[in-house]
Amino acid sequence: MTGEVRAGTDAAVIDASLRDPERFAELYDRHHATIHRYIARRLGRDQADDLMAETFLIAFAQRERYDLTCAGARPWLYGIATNLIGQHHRAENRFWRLIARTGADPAVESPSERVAERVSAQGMRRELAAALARLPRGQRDVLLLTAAGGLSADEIASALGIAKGTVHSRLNRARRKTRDALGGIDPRDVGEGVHA
Amino acid sequence: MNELERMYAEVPPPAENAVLEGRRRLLAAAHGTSPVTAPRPARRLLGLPRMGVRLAAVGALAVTIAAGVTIAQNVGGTDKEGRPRPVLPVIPAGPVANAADLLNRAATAAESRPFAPRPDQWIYVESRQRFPAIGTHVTTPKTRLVNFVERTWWRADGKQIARTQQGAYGDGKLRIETGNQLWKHNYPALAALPTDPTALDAWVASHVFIGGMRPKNAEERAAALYDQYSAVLRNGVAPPKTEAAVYRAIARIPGVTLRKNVVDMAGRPAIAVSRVTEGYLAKEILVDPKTYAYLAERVIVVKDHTLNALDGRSVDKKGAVLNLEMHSIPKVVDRPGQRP
Repeated sequence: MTGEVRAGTDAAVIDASLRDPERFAELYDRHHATIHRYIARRLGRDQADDLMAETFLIAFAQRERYDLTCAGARPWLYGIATNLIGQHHRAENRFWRLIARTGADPAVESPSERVAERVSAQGMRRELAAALARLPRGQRDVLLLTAAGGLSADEIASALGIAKGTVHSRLNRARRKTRDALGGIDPRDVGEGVHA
Repeated sequence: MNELERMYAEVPPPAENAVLEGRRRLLAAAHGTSPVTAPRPARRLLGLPRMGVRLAAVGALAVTIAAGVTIAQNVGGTDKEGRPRPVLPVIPAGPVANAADLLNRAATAAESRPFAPRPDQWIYVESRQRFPAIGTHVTTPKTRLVNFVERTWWRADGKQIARTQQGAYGDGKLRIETGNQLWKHNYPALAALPTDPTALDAWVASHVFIGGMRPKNAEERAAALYDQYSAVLRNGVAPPKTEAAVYRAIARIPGVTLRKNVVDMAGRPAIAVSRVTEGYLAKEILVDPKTYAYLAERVIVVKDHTLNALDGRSVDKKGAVLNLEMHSIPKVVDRPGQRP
């Protein structure tokens, strides 16, 4: 099996970590920032610190089950992070409702650290947060994974353990529901990777 | 870039200590020296942020805003018997009877506000907001609120928005954005809306309640309409006739009640309409009790509420204020950044 794993890929790192567990830290170095951003976007920055670490601990514990024919591990890590976020769905709903109510965004700002600017038009952010709070979890997962960027529909399907057709139908429904919050534009330009 | 993508792009990278801690936990697991899922550090129950910018001088705010109101108050005054005279001849002087009466007075007051920006001019709105700091998991009537000031210049042709943000979470720099296409954030789009309240409801239904966002029942519809109209008022950019139509449309929404003797964030008296949502929150629209001009939006807890989530318990106590947001009367200026 080992011979089939291309050198330098995430799969090669995971394969190596089966014999030398410390090698798994390379996977952390490659992907922790992406995973942190994804979790911070859905639960706020403080939660993200802890759940980023937990995502990699779970991945490490499950590394023997990793399919080494998948060269890139990002969908797998996103899937683990999404499961963790799912366990915190009440906190996530509270998070989106807080943004909808005040425009203050705990993903950008943090209680322990003052961020100097609130960059975007807060009105639009509030509308979008209100719409996201109302989305069913499955649709929200697909929409937010798509917007996170860098994942194809196949990869989102494998991250969530659902069929590719389900990814498309959930995404279309989620887009219809958030269309007004995004400015009435048909947000077809969101994550074009999914149509590839 | 659309708002969803911008929402991600703005998230700052993790702090260095968080990155190191995550790596340390992973290596500890790899060495077999710690359980794979280490116990999480206890979270502070009451978030007490260490932010540089704290409570701005609310007193100064009161003075600024009171100055704007003085003229209107002088117009009203009292008659020979000491009874209050109507501020504007068209608004009845007697006590406000109910929510619909208040909203009709607010609509009439809005219609009498002169406002005719040229397309190349800018509409200036100053908004002041107070809310519990991010990370606050227990709110009570005594919870300290952080201040946030946003000054917005809306180009009257709807093509640009300029703003500065100050206080907690703001740096005071002027930023110009092109085209925010949300209908609520766009002067020409708001000016084109129907001014008949029934037609306005129908417009919102056909443009907002679409693609699965259709309200499932009468309560959801009422709550959604109230939220949509509150947002129009909160942004402050609506032309007078649209603002008036919005008040009249709110008057038709079931569950909207009158609240007298409310105090706004500057401590001045206000009168409000209120609608309870999610079973424990009242969303209020505050207007000036004399001029009936829009003052503020307030979200207040009307019933103790506890939410148990995995990251801990959050508690909202009756009387706690979750958001207070007021804006100045919009003024027309020639350039972004210019104050009237």
